[in-house]
Amino acid sequence: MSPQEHQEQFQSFYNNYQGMVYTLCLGYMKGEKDLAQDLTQEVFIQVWRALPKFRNEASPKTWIYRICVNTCLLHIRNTKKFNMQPIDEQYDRLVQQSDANDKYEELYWAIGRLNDVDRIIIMLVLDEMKYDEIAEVTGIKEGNLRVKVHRIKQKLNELMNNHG
Amino acid sequence: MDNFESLQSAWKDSKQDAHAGMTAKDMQHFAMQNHSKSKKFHLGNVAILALVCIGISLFFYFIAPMQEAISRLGIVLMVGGLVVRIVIELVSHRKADQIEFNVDTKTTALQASKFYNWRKRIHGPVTVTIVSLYSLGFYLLTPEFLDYIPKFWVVIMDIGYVIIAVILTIVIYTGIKKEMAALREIKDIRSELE
Repeated sequence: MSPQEHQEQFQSFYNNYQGMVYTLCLGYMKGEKDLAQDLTQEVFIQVWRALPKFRNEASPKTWIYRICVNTCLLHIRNTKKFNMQPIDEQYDRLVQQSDANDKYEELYWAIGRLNDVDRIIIMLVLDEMKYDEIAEVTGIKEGNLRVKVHRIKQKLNELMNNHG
Repeated sequence: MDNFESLQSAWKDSKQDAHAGMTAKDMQHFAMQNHSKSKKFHLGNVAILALVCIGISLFFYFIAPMQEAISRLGIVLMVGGLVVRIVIELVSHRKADQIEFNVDTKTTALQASKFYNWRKRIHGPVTVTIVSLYSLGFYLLTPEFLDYIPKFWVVIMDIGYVIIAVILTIVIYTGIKKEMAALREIKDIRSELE
């Protein structure tokens, strides 16, 4: 890949997928916008590094999702401080930071109570990815994935019912 | 509308509002800069170790050539320890670079776990052996130093080394703790993926 092609491909991927990546990072960071922006930048640094290896074997969307999911999951060790805080403290902080009309509080609160892998899986489901695509991104077998998604949906349902 | 549908609807709305806050060109410059910065940082560590190694070698070759066999053994242990450390740094950098982010998560987690397991092995007996041999090498120089330098300064030098060694041990231990925590987290991720 020539430097020119590298740059053009990167810009095209960024323009097409930055919204998708940012949304996933925002969900992963439980609605923390600054952390989500940092994580989005980290994802696109990885995209830049990996781009010469992109061979059209996977669709660009699946390829970017893989980088995004892997960056999120491996990024966790740098954000331990955030994750160590009790979930209710995080929620209170989010509410204080959010605009009065922030309509996504419940969304981030609910998915924020899941463990990291479950949070990633359910965000891919919310993003209307098909099971075979999620399996391609995560490496989890489709049958196993269906069971996991069912269990996560049940957990979310319980959380939201108890939360009122 | 059930709970999941309401979450899905909120998710769709949040996508409409999503913007990473940078233009494609800015992000490209940022990624390019970061890529070279990270390379420079890793190679910077190696360069510092290499300079120390060259400095010690030149010092004992031109300025203070040691005559006794035990002192020469000390120099070999010190320089040898640094050379092994440099090689480990280079191998670590290469292994870290080989973790692929563009493959499925199970594969990436496996690669990351292999990397941290390798680091765990390095941090254990290998680092302890290198530090011990380097320290032994340093103290093997003391008898010959006493022939040329007043005893007071040799004692100060030996005590100073202990202080530096304690500080270095704390720094190394903190790094090891961080990496071992990362290894535990990756293990958790791998079991969550099963």
